[in-house]
This record gives sequence, C-alpha cells and structure tokens, in this order.
Amino acid sequence: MNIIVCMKQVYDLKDLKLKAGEEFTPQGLDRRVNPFDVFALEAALTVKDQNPQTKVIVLSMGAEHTEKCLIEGLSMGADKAYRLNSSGFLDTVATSRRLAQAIHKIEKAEGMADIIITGIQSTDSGNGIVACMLSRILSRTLVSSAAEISLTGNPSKLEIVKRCPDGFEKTEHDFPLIISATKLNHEVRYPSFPRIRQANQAKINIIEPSPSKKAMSSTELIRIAKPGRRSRNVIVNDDVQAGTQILLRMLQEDNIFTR
Amino acid sequence: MDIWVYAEKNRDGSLTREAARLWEFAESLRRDRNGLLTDIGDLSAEDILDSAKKKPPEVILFASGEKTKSLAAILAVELDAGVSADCFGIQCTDKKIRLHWIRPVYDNSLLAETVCTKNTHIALMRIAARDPSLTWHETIPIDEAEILVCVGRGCGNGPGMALAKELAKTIGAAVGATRAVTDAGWLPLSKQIGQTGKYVRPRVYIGIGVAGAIQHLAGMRNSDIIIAINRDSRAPIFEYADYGIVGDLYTVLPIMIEDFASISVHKNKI
Repeated sequence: MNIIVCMKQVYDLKDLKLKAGEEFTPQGLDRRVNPFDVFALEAALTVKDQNPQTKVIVLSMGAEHTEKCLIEGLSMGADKAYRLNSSGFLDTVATSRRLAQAIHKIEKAEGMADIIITGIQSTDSGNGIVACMLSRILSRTLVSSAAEISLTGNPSKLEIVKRCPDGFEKTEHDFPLIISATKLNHEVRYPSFPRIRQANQAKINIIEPSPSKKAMSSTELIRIAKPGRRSRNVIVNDDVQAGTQILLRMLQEDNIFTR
Repeated sequence: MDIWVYAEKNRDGSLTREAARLWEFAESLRRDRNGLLTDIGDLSAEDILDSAKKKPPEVILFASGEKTKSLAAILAVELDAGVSADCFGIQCTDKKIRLHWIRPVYDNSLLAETVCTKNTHIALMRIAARDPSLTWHETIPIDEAEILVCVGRGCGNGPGMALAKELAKTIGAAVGATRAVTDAGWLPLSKQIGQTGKYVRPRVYIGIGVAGAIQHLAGMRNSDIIIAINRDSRAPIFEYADYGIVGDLYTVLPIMIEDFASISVHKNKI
C-alpha cells in the first residue's frame, strides 16, 4: 500500500511580538511543520504499523528550506521524501494544481497512491481547501476531518473515525482516498534517535514544476498585519465607581441596554 | 455581470440570518450589477456549475461551512476562479471587480488582505451563529449568546468566579472562559473561547481577569463591543477593548452588579 502525505512548512509564531496595527514580517521566526500535517503523517504511520509493507511518502512544496520539514517526516517514520520546488506566494487553486501534478509524477515512480492525506488546514493561510481541490482535480473521494484511520479485515477498505460537530462518526471507505486529518484521537509519535540520523542522510527527491497557465497564481498578497486598535478604546484606570458609570452610559448610548 | 449568493432560506421562503448577512455583503459590491440569491438547499456543485458555465458570475458568495467549502473548492477548480475561505470582509476597489479579501491568517492571530485578478471570485464569508431571540438560560451555547461574560485565569475559582457568574445572571449573559480556566477544570471545555475553543461574536463581550492571549483574541475579537476588566493596565486585551476598567475585580464587579441590576437588554439590535 502507498500513502502520500502532503506537508506544509509554516512560520512558528510563538516568538512573534507585534503591537496592534503593526505589519507582519517573518524575519527572525523559526519554521515548523504545520501541526495538522503532523497529524496526517501520524495517521499514515498508524496504517504502516498495521501493515509494515506500506510505503509512506512525504511531499512538500517550497524552496530548499522546506526540506527540513521532509526530514522531520522521515525521522518520524516516512520511507521517502519529495520536494516540489517552488518559491513565493501561491493561491489555493495554483497550489492544488501543482500538487496534483507532483502526485502524478510520484505515482509514476512509486506506484498508485491508495491514500493521499494532508492536514485539514494550515496554521498560516488556513483556507482548509486544498484537500477538497485535490479530490476534484484527481477525481478521488474525499473524507475530511479524520481523527483516526485504520485497516480493517477487508483489504480493500479503510475505517475512518471522523470528527463531527457533536462527536465522532465511524465509516468505511474503498481506496483510493483523499483524507484531511484533524487533531487525532491518539498521541503523535516522537522520532527515534537512529531514525533522525538516517533521515538527515536520506535523499530528498526534487520535482520541478511544469506549471500550465491554469497553475499560475492569480491572487496577490497585499499585507498581513495585526488588527488595529479599536477606534473607541476608552480605558478608565483611576476611579472604578466612575468607570462603571461611564461604561453603563456608553452602553446605553450604543443602544445595548435600557433602563 | 452578476453576483450570486447561495444561502439557506427558511421554509416559508424568508431569509435566514445567514442569508440576510450574505446579502448585505452582496449589496455592498453590487452597484449596477445583478444580484441573485438562491436557496442552497440540496444543491450540488454540478447544479451550480451548470448555470455558472453558461455565464460565469463575477462573484459567488457562500457562508463558511464544511459543505460550502467543498462546493467552493469544486467551483474554483472548474471555473478557474479565485477562492478565499473564512473572509471577514470583502471590498471592491474599482469598476471591474478586483476583490480585496480580508481574512484571518496564522491561526487567526493576524489579518491578511489579498486581491484576486481572476474573472470569477468565490468567497466563503465567516458569519457567526447568533441566537435571534434575546431569551437567556444557563445552558445557552457561548457562540449563540448575545451577551457574553468571559472569565480568565485572574478570576480564580472561588469568590471571583462567583462574582462573574452573578454579573452574568444580572445582565442575562452566557458565561465563557479562556483556555487557562478550562484547562484548570474550573469550567467545562464547551465554554472555551479562542483558537482551540469556539469563535464567538456576541453584541457585548465582557472579559474579566482575561489577559488577552493571541489565541483568545482570535476567538472573540469580532464581538461588536468588547469590555475588559483587569487590574493589569498592560494586559493586551485593553488594546482591543472598546471600554476597559483597570481595577481589581473584587472591587469592580460588586459595583457593576449593583449598577447593572437596574438595566435591561435593549430589544433593538445595533
């Protein structure tokens, strides 16, 4: 069985210090694997735990620095890594078309993928739409919000526990499938030391894109910024009694409360 | 050139809150364009594609949701359109629609503005659920509340929490919490507001002892009016508050409860 896991590298914002209204620059920020894609990889690896014949292939799109995320994938337990070379901002349609092309190329080399799995959304752009698009472009069934996947007694079926607004739903599906993974019902494994060493020496296969006109980005990023201060921003900090009175009066003026 | 809106209608054909809000967005772009509102009902992507392929509209608007996201993805691929999910706002700058999308990025902590140059634009608008009635009861889900009192770590689980709940009862508000509070087990997870909890957009949000971590701000920043009570004047929430009181909650809340006891929620929406 072949599984392709699509992983995206995102900025880690834990060290980001921005004031209200300030524009975002990624300078000095670390990069990490999009957490939902780590769930996707972990889900793929649980299938490999069940059937060790499974080949797990990680695919990431980006410039050379993206390979760090593929190495992380390999050190968690993936067998092969592919980087789709790309730079700059791409919109969702262009991204999906290019990923679909890359998947075709990988399938030519490695065999048909029974499962293509990716995180339900990225923590950066967060459209959460790429899996839906891949499903359309590749004409394969999509199952979204998977929290658990496992092989069943029937070799042509996969059991998926899907996260729903009011709980979980267990369903069975035929291959091939596209799955979007959300937070899993089980913990994510840690890479082992020998695996990390192996991963650092592993070969990363590089795919050059052959973008058609349709795979060109048509969306331009104008700016990313922290939301500005509220225009009113009335803060009272000396007299609490007066503060509540002011608050009450303003809420009445705003038509929220009446006496 | 057309703007198409797909939304749920009520059984009697009247507009749901979601449809009405989407229509407002459409109106803001419309000018001399035709607007068309269709009941999304059981429509499939193919149904919409059938009409869209004959004469592609300039803009298609949906409300954010799992089903509409997959419809939008299919339409975007087939019509070679631009698409953007979870938009807060759309602006149209010039005569030919060059749509500016305003949407949250980086875990909802930042806002991005993008512009699309395709001929067809599809936007999924984020419209928070909100209970149309003003009646209040203990179990109202926090994402449907008109008025929301949110307790933060600063409240503690003792007298501070009790005061916050009393204030909520006085003004008919639901009680929500920050992650620190649900992590500590002081309130159930279903009450958590923020990136890992629920997105809320009440008319009034009152944060008590809430510092305003980026993940929490992401979940409540779009409230119509934000009120913050915190004894630390440097708490980030004050940057996003419409009204703030810097002071100890054990002093502020009893005064607020007394003062607010005489008021009632206004029937008209703002």
